[in-house]
This record gives sequence, structure tokens and C-alpha cells, in this order.
Amino acid sequence: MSPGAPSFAVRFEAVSAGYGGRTVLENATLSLPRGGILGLIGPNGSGKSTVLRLILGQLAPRTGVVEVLGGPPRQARTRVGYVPQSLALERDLPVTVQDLVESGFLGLGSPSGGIDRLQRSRARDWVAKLGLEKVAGRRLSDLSGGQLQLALVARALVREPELLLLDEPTANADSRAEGTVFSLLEECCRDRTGIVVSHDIGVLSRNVGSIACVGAGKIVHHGGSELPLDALEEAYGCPVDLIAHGHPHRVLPHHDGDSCGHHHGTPRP
Amino acid sequence: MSLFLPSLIAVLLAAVAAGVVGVLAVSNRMVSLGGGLAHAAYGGVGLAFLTGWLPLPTTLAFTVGAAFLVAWLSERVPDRAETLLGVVWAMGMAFGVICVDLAPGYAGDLQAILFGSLLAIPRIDLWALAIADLLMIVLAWKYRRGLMGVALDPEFAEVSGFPVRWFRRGLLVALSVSVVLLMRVTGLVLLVALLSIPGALGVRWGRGLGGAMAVAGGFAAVFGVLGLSMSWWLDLSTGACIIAVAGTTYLLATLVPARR
Repeated sequence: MSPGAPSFAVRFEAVSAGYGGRTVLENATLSLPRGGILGLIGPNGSGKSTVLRLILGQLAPRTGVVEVLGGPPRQARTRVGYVPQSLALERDLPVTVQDLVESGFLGLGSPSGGIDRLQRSRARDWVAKLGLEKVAGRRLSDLSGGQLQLALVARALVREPELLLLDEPTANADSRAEGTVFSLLEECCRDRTGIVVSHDIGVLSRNVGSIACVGAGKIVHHGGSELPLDALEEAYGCPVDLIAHGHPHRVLPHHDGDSCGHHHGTPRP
Repeated sequence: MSLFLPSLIAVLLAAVAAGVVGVLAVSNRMVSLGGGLAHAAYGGVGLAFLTGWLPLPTTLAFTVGAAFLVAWLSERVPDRAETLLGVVWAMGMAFGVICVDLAPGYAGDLQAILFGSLLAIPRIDLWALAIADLLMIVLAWKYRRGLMGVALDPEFAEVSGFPVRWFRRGLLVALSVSVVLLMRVTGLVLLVALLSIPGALGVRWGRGLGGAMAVAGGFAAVFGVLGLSMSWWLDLSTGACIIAVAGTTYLLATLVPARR
């Protein structure tokens, strides 16, 4: 980066990426300044997970440059917190909520994965902060979807990351857990950056400061929480009506033989 | 009694390895890999038989090689990992059979490899098992948090910068060592049960990774002693008796709720 250039949390410059013969992103560009929460929306298969994989360094771009916290994604790994979808977890293992949160320190200290007293105490603080003290000693298989989601957020936050990535963090949560997650994010992201991936524009527009839309191989990001209708239509590949503007926002697609799923509404005249 | 005591020591030492590695195999969904390696290990047995090399190190080297071959191929073609394991499993056995065919002399002792034989177990095998147990306990304790993190959520561990690949390689070596050393007890055909049943019970009722290993080791010891006694008094194959006891217990255990 040249001296005096703005410092971005994430920067995509003409990035193309995909799997095998399939191209998911083509010449995509994104410049996300540090601080605040970005919501990432898009239909299924649009490339939201690909964007996350590029940021996490799990996938290399075919062309273009991906920068995370000013450097290559792999170099930023210890400064990034990741909250995966809870389905990825092995919930049947003899692991408690406290164990799960303490596993957030992996990669930060001892190569054996061991933690010190200070880290254990920090994990306890986060367990308490997320209201999980009563279930701290319980196995993961005994938790509700919302409790597990909160525990996963706590695991990411114990790392004190500069960049926090959340993949569908409220997919299995009720509205109370959703509120807890987002109010915590708002508090945490005053001095760090959050990226929340969700297919639910209602959840995102209620809770984040800016929204980007992934679709048709592109990332559209205008810096605000409102996206132009044509950007949504291009991403979703069908006409979209935005109604009930306010809380909650709703995105309603045209339904005459279109290919959009997971939306409800009436056709646009 | 002079034959019973070494057999008893062998099953108790085997219980430690089965407890530690069994929990890791179950937690990391590597039980099928253990079964595959047990069969592939026959290639090492055959090679030692043909060449006259020392059986234990030859089989161990062959099995570790097979484990890394499966891992290497699976990383390149992840969607076909199960098929690749099946191929390596069968090729290892086929290689062993061909080696035995080519070797001069009678291959009577190979029956013990297939179905286990604790009678006249070589003293060096007992020492090897004891040393391996000690190493596994020390390493599992030292790396328990990393092992748990990798088993729980390997993707999170990897994107956090944790050396998941090295941990997996360590697990492969531990699994290969256990397969070779436990082969004497149950035979390679039944070995997968000793790697999976105590481990599954430990994961079900243990607390933390160490607790699960202790529970699994305890179960494996009880299965070993009961199976050995049954085999001794009824004049039946020891490996089959141990697995019969273990399997029955596991089936009954599925009726009992898991630990909360």
C-alpha cells in the first residue's frame, strides 16, 4: 500500500474466483473501510460464501488482489474472528460451552493449543457477557440454537479480532438471541470491523450500517444501508419490489416464472 | 497361568491405546480410516514374511505409508476420499497376499494376524505397546486443547492459523501405531471394533477429551479382561470374545441416555 493511502479492512481489486470450471466472482471490487458493520446479502449460490472464503484465505483468487487488514488474507488470520454456521460443529463431542469459547484462542498462542490463566479468565468474561454462565458447563448438544450461536460469537470475540466475520449468525436464533447478537456486534464494532453474511435482508437492514449485495459475479456496495433496486434485481436475477420501507424492510420478488426462491410477495405490476 | 498373565497384560496395555486413540478416531470421524488401515497393514505383514525383515517395524512403516497415501490422495480428490480408502484398503491386503504367495514356507502364523492371538505374544510386542501407551498419554495430555479444537471445528481452527494439517498427520501416525500394536489382540479383521466401541462410549459419557479417553480406556480394559476370561474358560478365540463383549455392551448402552 502506498504511504498515505486509506487503510481498508477488506479490499478486493478486480477479483475473479470460482471452483473448477465454475466462475462465481468476476472482476469484483470492494473497498471496505475499517470500523462499522457491513451486511452481505445475495441469493443462494451467488457467492457470499466465496467472498468469506477469499477473506479467510481458504480460497485464492484466480486473478486480482484480496487484501485483509492491509495484507494477504493468510497473514491476517490471527487478527480475524470467524463465526461459522453452527451446523459445521461436531455437537456430540464431550465439549462444554466454556471449552468451546476457550477454543477461540487456537492459533494465537501455544502451538499445542494450550491457554494461560489470563485467557481462561477472558473466556469466562465473554461467557458471562453473552449471558451463558448458566450453561457454561453444559455440553453443546444440550444447547438451543440461539445459545449455541451466542457461544460461537463468544468464541470469535475472545480473540479480540480487528475483523469479525459472521456467516448467518442468526439463522437458528430467535428474535431475542438476534437482538443480543447484534447489540453486542454494534458495541464491539465501534473499534473494529464486522461483516455479517445473511440471506435475510430484513435482519441486516434492521441491524447494520451498510449493505453490500453479491450476485451475477459482482459485489455492489454503496456504503449505506440502502441498496438501489436495480442492484438487487441484478443480483437476484429477477424483478424485486421493496415494500414496507421502515422496520422491517422486505424484499419481494416478481413471481411470474422467475427463479428466485425464499421470498414472499406479490408481483410487481 | 504362565500364558494367562502375559495375555492379561497385553489386553490391559491394548486398552490404553484403544482408549486414547479410539476417542480421537471417533471425534475426528476416522474410524473407517482405522478399519481401512488395519486391512492395508496386511501388506506390511506379507512384506515382512517375504523378506524376512522384522515384522513390527516393517508393518508399522507400511501402515504409516498407507495412511499418508490415503491422506495425500484425499486432499487432492476430497469428494472421493471414501473410495480412495477402499482402494488402499484392498490393495494393501492384495499386496500382502501376493507376498505370502511368493514366500517359501508355511504361513500358519498369519492366521493370528487376521483374527488375533494373545498366546505366546512376543515380549518385545508388550514393551512396544507399553512405550506407545506412555507416549500417547503424554502427547494427548500436552496437545489436548488443540486436539479438541481440531475435532470440534477443523475449519475454525484452520482459519484461525492453527496448524491443523500437522495435528492430522500426528493423528494418522497415532492411528497407524495403534492399528499395528492392537492387531495381536483382536486381529486385523476385528480391530475396527476395538478402535470404535470404547471410543464411542468415552465420547458419550466422558467429560472433556481427557475424561472421554479415561472412560474409553476403562471400558476397553473391562472388555479385554472379560473377553480374555471368556476365551480362556470356553476355549474360544480371544479377539472374537473381546469384541462380542464390547459389541453387546455398546448395543445395551444405546438404550441409556448420554451424559448431560
